[in-house]
Amino acid sequence: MNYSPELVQFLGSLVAILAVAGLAWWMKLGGAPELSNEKEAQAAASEAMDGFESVETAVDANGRGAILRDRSGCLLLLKQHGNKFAGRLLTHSATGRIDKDKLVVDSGERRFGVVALAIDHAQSWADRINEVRSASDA
Amino acid sequence: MPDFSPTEYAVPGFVLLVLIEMIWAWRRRPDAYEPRDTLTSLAFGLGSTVSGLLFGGFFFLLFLGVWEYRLIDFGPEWWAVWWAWPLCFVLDDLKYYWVHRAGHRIRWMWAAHVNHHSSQHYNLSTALRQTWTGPFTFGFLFAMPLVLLGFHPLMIAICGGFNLIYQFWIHTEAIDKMPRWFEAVMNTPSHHRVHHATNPRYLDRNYAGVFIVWDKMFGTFEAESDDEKIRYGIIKQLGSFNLLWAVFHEWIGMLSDIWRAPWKHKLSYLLREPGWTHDGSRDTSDTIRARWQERQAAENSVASENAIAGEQEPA
Ligand SMILES: [Zn+2]
Ligand SMILES: [Zn+2]
Repeated sequence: MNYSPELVQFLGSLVAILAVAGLAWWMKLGGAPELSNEKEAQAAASEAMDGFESVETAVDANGRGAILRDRSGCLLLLKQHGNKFAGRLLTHSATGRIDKDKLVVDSGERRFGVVALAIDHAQSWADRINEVRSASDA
Repeated sequence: MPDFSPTEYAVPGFVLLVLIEMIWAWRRRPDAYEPRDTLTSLAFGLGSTVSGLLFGGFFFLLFLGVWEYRLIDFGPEWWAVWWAWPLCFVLDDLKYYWVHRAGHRIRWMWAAHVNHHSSQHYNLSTALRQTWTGPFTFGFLFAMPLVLLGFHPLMIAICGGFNLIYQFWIHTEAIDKMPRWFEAVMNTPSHHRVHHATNPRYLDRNYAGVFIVWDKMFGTFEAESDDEKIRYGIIKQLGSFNLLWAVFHEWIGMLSDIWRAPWKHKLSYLLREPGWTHDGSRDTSDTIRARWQERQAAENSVASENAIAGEQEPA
């Protein structure tokens, strides 16, 4: 059989990159950072959205995310992404609901996805998220 | 005519250096790598070689056609004119500076270049995070002056290859600072960390490829400050390791903005800076920097008032 050298090179490279990524995984590089308190969540928030000053912070019990509110009422959602955090200011396309005592936030962006947070006062946070939605629908 | 692609020969060296940096990370900074991020970055690298294979020939032929109209003729043995090589390398690096600057300031170009920046990590694998969609921008136009001057497209391609190879090693946190004379002239890990940072003070800075002098010349240089922790990536972090989304998200965003925009604003969504909107509803790097500067000024005035009030605070 005859394979083009380009194809052989491509497949070889594919195997190599899978091997390198596999090695990174095997060496346990990365890890999963946790937000252990409000202060850490606020620091992560101001990194995700420069200058975001939280007046109310709810951190997931497992440290995998948080939701924060600033003075003007903007809501910032943080989620663990790999070994970093990524955040979104929630817009009218976001929704909040309660599932098994957890706040489930759909960012409204398919690729950012849905984040479940085990937090206190989950219902009032959900209401706030949905308020953003109805306010801009009006 | 010599036929030689320097980047191809460099790949085994790239892999070896990534492995060495991974060992460094394992011992000192396990958080510097994230396996899924590494896989995405490496897949970007592989995909970009495929893209180059598919479209590179077309641009090469185009350049050859334009070369027929050259101002200076280096003769049939143009490759033997030794001094043309370093000259071409330096001019190509100047060209790189401007393509790269356009890559950050024009959304059409950014749609392709954002790929290089969408990792929240900064390690040697990030260097291989190269775009697939460069051929769909007008980046190739920046090389035209060089071709018209008389540099053979192959010479330019080889110089560009070495430029890219140089840029590989600077994508690391394992090296702090190089000797002062080196930092003054060359692009270094320190300078390029600034380029990959999303901290407001660092946005749109240090576009250099090999020589940092271009940034100093054209007013876009910013030194890395020791007392500010760098955060890497883009303003709106992807929050996803999906490869195809990472490749195309900005194209999708741009095209849907153009689609929805009123007619008189459509072109601006293509040619203005990333984040620009006709109603000012999003942030650009300029608005983020301005807000940050305002905040700094406010904090400083509070600090100086405190100092005047007699609190002994070091300036
Ligand atoms: Zn860049
Ligand atoms: Zn880079």
